[in-house]
Amino acid sequence: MPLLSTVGIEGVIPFGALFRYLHYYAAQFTFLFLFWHTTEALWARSYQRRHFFHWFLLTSTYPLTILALFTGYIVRGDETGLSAGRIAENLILTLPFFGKILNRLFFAVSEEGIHRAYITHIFLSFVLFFLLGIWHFRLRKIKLEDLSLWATGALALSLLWPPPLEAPHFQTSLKGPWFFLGIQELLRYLPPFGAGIIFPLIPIILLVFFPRAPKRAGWGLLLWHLFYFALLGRGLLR
Amino acid sequence: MTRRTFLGRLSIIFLTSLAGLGIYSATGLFPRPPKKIFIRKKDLEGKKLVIKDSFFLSFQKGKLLALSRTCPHLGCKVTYDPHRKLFVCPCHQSRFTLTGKYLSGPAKKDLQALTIKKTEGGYILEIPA
Repeated sequence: MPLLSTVGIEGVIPFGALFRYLHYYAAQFTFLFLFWHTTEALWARSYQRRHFFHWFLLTSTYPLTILALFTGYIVRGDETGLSAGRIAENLILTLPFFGKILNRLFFAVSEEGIHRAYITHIFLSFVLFFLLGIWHFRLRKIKLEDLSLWATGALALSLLWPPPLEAPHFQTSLKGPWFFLGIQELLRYLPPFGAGIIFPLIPIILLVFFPRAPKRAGWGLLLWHLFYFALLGRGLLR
Repeated sequence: MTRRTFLGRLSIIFLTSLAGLGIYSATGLFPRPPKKIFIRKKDLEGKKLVIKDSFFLSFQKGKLLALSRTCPHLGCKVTYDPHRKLFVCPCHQSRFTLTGKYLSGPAKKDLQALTIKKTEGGYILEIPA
């Protein structure tokens, strides 16, 4: 049972709990900074200084980073993680033709447990780190003080608010990963393909094609995010 | 054609086939047979509802029903709400009666009924692959 391994990391491995908490908060910072960095890049019009193909490759790492973060939730193996994995599996299976192949590559939770999600999590994390590292470290030197500041922040959060790990129990309400609460809320009202595939694809497509129509894509992204934050707020209040 | 060109093309074919085989393996799954579970009659005596990891056993109107705990909406594990005496999916709050009939929520389908057969000393439940 994967949850036993996660609990084992916390209870058996020296400083295992601390490393798990640090890993969790570092991942949350990665996502938040990615959001900030993308907003900054659009504001500074950096797409004007990039070839469209390079822009496409860079923006495609956005959903891949979210996938790496999401698979981290699944591999916890607790009820939230496994439910999130099953939802993702069933959503991706709504895709015609590619759905089955993609499910077998990334999830297959109901058939193989967390195995595929675990491989995806590790493989994607390393690939993204190396590829994005090679790209970004050529452009800017990362200051040790900046890294130290955020590492200290992650350490403080780890000591003050350890991330959750749910024991199996009967619960009639479950909240998924916080960044997907908006989609979880929308899935109550719309069919899975619309809420789980089309809706999340909209900002990705707007981001990729931003250089072609900056004003329209900008407004589209703003409206999408406002709507998403409203859904997220509703989901948080449940 | 030179030896170099021939070996170069052969290695491209070999590496492409290897990559293809890798992707085929990664996207493949071993087909699993249906799971058969034996439930002792003794374990059900005096109980109206038994909750197991992947299924419910519910006694309704003298009949034993085996219901899958997989929500027909998006596959979350359905749980039992003892206050409302209903099955509830914790992900999007789809609700089902104790016979598995859909009541409300985004699921729109009943809980899957599993095949249960009487045998000596108990029942055999079949969970499909």
